[in-house]
Amino acid sequence: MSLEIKQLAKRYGSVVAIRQASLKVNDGEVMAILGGNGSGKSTLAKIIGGAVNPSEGIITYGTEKLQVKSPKDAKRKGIVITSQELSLFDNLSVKTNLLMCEIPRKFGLFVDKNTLEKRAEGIMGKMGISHLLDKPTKELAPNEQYMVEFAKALIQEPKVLIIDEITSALYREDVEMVKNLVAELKRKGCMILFISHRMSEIFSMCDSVTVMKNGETIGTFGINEKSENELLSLMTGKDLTRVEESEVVSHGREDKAEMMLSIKNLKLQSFSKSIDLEVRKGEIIGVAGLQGHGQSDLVRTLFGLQQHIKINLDGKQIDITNPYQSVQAGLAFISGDREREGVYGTRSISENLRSVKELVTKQGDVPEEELLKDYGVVFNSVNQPINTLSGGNQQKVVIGRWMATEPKVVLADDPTKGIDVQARRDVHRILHKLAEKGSAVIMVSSDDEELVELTKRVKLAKIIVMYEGQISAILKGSDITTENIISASMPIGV
Amino acid sequence: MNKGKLKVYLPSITASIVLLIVGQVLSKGFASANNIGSILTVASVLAIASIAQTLVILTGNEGIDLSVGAVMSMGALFGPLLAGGASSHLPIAFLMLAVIGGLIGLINGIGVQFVKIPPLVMTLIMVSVVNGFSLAYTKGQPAIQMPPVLLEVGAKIFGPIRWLLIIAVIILIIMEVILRKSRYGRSLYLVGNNRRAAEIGGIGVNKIVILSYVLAGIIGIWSGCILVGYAGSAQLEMAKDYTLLSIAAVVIGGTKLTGGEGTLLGGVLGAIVLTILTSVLVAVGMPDGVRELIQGLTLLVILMVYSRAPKLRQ
Repeated sequence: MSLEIKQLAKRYGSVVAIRQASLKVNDGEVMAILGGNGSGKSTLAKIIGGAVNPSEGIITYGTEKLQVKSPKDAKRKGIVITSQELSLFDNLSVKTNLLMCEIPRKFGLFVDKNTLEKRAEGIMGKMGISHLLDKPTKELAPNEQYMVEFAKALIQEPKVLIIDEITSALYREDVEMVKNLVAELKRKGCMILFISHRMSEIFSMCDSVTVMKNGETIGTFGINEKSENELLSLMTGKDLTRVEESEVVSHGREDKAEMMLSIKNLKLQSFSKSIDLEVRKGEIIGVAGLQGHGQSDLVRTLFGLQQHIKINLDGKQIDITNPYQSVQAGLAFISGDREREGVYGTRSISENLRSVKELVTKQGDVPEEELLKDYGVVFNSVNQPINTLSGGNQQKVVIGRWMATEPKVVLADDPTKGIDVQARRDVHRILHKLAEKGSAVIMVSSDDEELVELTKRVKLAKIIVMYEGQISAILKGSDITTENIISASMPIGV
Repeated sequence: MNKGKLKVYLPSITASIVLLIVGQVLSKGFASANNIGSILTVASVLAIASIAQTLVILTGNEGIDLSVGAVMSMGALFGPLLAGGASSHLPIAFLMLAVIGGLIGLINGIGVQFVKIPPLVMTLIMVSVVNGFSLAYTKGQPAIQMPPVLLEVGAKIFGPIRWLLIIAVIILIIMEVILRKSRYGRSLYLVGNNRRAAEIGGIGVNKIVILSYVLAGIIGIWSGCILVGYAGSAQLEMAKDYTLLSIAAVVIGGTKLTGGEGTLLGGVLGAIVLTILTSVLVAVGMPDGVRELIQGLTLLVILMVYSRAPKLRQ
């Protein structure tokens, strides 16, 4: 069996989401779909999953022409989507959520709860998250919710599984689990479309990769045919192969730089031990570790989102109890959850950009056009609502809002989550520039490779790895590798 | 202002014109300058009330002020009382009203922001507190002497234009400028749009929200005092209908009940639409009961049309 898409197009009025898409997946094949934000990947996934009707084109599944009328219809045909948009009911338990998939049925009428329950328990057990079964969904950490979402897809025993960027919300050990489960599905002959921005995942999980750009499929390649940079060039249309290699790794000595921020005996909430942290001017600190070991708590605490703290900032002892004070003191906070904690969705780009410098720190005008151009944000007018921009560009505007204030320290909690590789590089470039001017950056990321990439091109940089609310290792210079991060994340004998 | 924003006003402007034509067809002279002048005068009080309501609705997080009508009723009683029937004491009376209205708003704001009482419940409780206070103070029999100048708000200045309309326009302009230009106004839109993001962005969210309730209290109580000048005599709870009408006016004017999106002008236009509708019903001699039924149904339809959630499926 195979699933084949021919000349698919989707238009919303005059807006073209997909210009022309064609691809073919076979049983037991894992195909990555790679593309920048706004390239049409998610729309394609939604069309196959029946949530969106295509404007043109044919989808054939096996020998028959496939016409999916609704997500329910798609499920009946064995096509299941699991996506970054969670489909869980917050106020119900995980188990109830899992049992709601409506299959299998007894006599084609009644839901066979026993079979379903056993299946749910089996899959949750396999994923090592059976302890979550009886918890209300809203009490789960975000990554746990995504794991449940994934489990929900597996319970339906899909023939075609579309994984839309769920791994960007997961931590490394979860991703390993997803990898294993995908491999198992593959053995069973399931075909899988895998949408992700993480190159390492694509290279380790997929058999082939289809590249999309501006709503078009550029082509499908075997996974070993193209290098990471070649794929990036294809999807951005820019030649990125040379830039990468000309980067120099040269780390300066940190003790020469002046102190920017220091804090002693910081006890993070829900952890018993305390940490000391020193950040120099111009330094970039990457914060790594397994999920839930206090990385996010660290930057949030420093910004005054969790408890009252005293810090030494740029030579002055200051108290921080809320974000208002930290912003006045020269701190900035970029959240990876831009929908909830970043953008003012229906307000204009201009308002979004000016919100901190003009309304809070009162430093005057923001040169908006100049800033947006510098960041490579594509826009028609600064008066258009920010939610008309792609995710990556929205995040750049949020970052620009802070950069305009020339903050002393930027705290970032997974700021590039779910944005494409090109936008991610832009974000790194912006942070590098800021550090060159003498500010400090503390950035958490759930992607170790990103942290390596962020810190390796900077004069003054290190990665701190956290374990149970403490710093388990500080990596500098040539020690900064994903292998070292992983081994420090799971210290032996602690 | 760009074209996209003007589109918000289109339904209320169209509705006003259609209703005027319908009125003219059903009853000659309905669309005469004189009648339009008096419709606008009547609409002015509701317009000012809807400005107060808009400020609170813009704060988001289900922000709504159900105490507007009660606060207005209080202003209608206490304005003349505080002035002691003397026109010369009116300025000081207005100042004292501002303190009372502001205090009511402050308690609303603190209840909502710090005690975390849902705005709907908090301001509903405030209704009985305010009404109870008025009733206790006047012992149910308000004997009120009207300051002569206050009675002039309904007097014509030139043509069909009356003072009341001018006052409403001035309040609208001042508040619209505050909303668009001041730090408070601009922050209010952001707070209403995404409260969490505003907090992280360093905006003093509590300050902004509480200030909105305070301003709503002040504008509300003043508009009650102006209302009594136009009506000529005060009664207990005389402005209670304005609560629901102000919410309806705000919604018709394109302000989102979820907050962070909308303009004061919108609410004012909404007030005009509702007033014309009432006038049409009165003009054709609709009995009171039927009139109220039609008004109620109209509000229901309007709220259903404007508040429906965006479609899930693209």
